[in-house]
Amino acid sequence: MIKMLRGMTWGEATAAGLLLAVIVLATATSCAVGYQRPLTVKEQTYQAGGVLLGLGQELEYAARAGLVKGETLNTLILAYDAAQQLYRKAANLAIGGTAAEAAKARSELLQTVDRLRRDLVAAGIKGASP
Amino acid sequence: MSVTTIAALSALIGVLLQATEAANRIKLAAEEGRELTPQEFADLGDQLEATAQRLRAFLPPAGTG
Repeated sequence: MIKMLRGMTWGEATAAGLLLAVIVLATATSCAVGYQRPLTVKEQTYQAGGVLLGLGQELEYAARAGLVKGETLNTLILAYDAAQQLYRKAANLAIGGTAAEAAKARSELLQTVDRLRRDLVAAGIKGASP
Repeated sequence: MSVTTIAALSALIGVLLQATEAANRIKLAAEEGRELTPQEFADLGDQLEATAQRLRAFLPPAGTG
């Protein structure tokens, strides 16, 4: 993201900032409207999967654009792969496991997704935090 | 804007859209008074797996890393 911003003019950066602000606002509104209660464990698991998919796609973009290479890229890919396998496990438990099993797997998934997000930020390729 | 800038912005928008897509599905299920179905969980899992497969293509062949 920083590399990208360095290549922008002030006009481009302003336009990009405004665009992102509108999108973030729309996303926040979409999430807020209709939610009068906390998400269930099942919903949190699904939502974490959606965030993970976005991170994976951003990692894919960064890899294709050559923004990240070598050992760093390999490590991030393996981390994403492990996280998506963890989603499968958490999803299965959310559907058919006990409440305790589902909650434990959900927590593990949330931590893993958050760790991957921080790793992407550290690698300089994470630009948004949905 | 340059092509790189547009591509980068598209990627950022993609992240937000995926999160929004999941939120919308949760909201829809809640409005319909039902829980998320196993099929919805499986569909998302398939998308995650497909992304993982494309990413694995960037890994060096086994034994050369």
